[in-house]
Amino acid sequence: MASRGISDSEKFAGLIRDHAGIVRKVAATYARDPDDRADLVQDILANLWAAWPRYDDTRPFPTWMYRVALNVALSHVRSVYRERRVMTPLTVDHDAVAATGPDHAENQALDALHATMARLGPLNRAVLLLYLDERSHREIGEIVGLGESAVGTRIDRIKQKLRRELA
Amino acid sequence: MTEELTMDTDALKAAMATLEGGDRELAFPGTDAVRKARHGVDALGKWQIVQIGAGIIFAVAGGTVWSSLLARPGLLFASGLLINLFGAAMIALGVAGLTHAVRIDVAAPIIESEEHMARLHRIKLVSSWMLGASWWMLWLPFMAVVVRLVWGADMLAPIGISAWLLTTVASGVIGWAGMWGLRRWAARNGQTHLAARMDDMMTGHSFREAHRRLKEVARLAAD
Repeated sequence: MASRGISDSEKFAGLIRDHAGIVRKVAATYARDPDDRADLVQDILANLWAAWPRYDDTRPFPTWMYRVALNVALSHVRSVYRERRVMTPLTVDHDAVAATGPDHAENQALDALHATMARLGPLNRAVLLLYLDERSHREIGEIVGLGESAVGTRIDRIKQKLRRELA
Repeated sequence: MTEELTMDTDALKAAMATLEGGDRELAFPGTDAVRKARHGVDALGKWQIVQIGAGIIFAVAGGTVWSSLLARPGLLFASGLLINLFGAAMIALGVAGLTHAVRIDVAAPIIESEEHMARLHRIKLVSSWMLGASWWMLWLPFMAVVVRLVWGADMLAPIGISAWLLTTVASGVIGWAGMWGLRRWAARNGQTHLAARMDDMMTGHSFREAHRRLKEVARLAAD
């Protein structure tokens, strides 16, 4: 980060610190184990910094950050899946992420969240992640590339799918 | 598991909120990681340009040979034509790939990026199959074209069509057996990247995966 102006890198670092939760949520949604998650976090941060010169600061930073983080996560999850397919037989819950928090109830809640996410394809998972992160339909639409009403429809379908599978 | 999954939406939102704070500060990536990220997408386009350049060389070389033999078509004429067509296919697939590669933007809406990535992936797989696998059959026509262009000789003149066909089929079988052996070695020696790439080529899994991705994008876009 030394090649650009100090104030520019400080501004970037400040924004990343303020919105670090986005990186953590995306990494936890798409990466399987702690090592994978750490790799994905680094990959997301590297891509954010690489794309930073093209960031239009009249647009909301979290929307831009979510787009970059999700695009990187989608590429990451596909490359990791391709490599594992050769060496490791996949189990039903191959996408599940082990919860590592110290609190038992919190771990159970995270397990349930990850098990829910694992039932969805990568794109639907992104929509559910954004919905559970309380993003507006408009913002979800801007991040995913859908209209507001299409976001509502998609969220309803995801809920229906989960209900149907759990019935 | 079922009990866990019956959590209501509020509980899932609460679980998601616990991911907001982490136990550690995020560590910023080093210069190498940033350089890799910056060049990752650019490299996709550069490879397509390399492919187009190579395709032009093949097309011109093949075209030069067959166009000089219009009056007496034979095995060398057919070889020139095959290499000409091979070059044209390289150019067409390279241009198709480039149109998607230049439109991939890590900050674009994810459906847009996914569609371009999936289409580029499919084009690259078609290229690998068509341009890679066909090479086991095309090496002889290629050699004939090179010999003609460099020394002006027709190395296929003493060879009959049956000998030409036998050589081509035999080299194809040996080539494929070699690829199978290499895949086996790669999987047993931890060369996961190489083994995955070869699996993709030999089983068509990636074609299905790219097709599934495009369908997923289309489903979302259709809402």
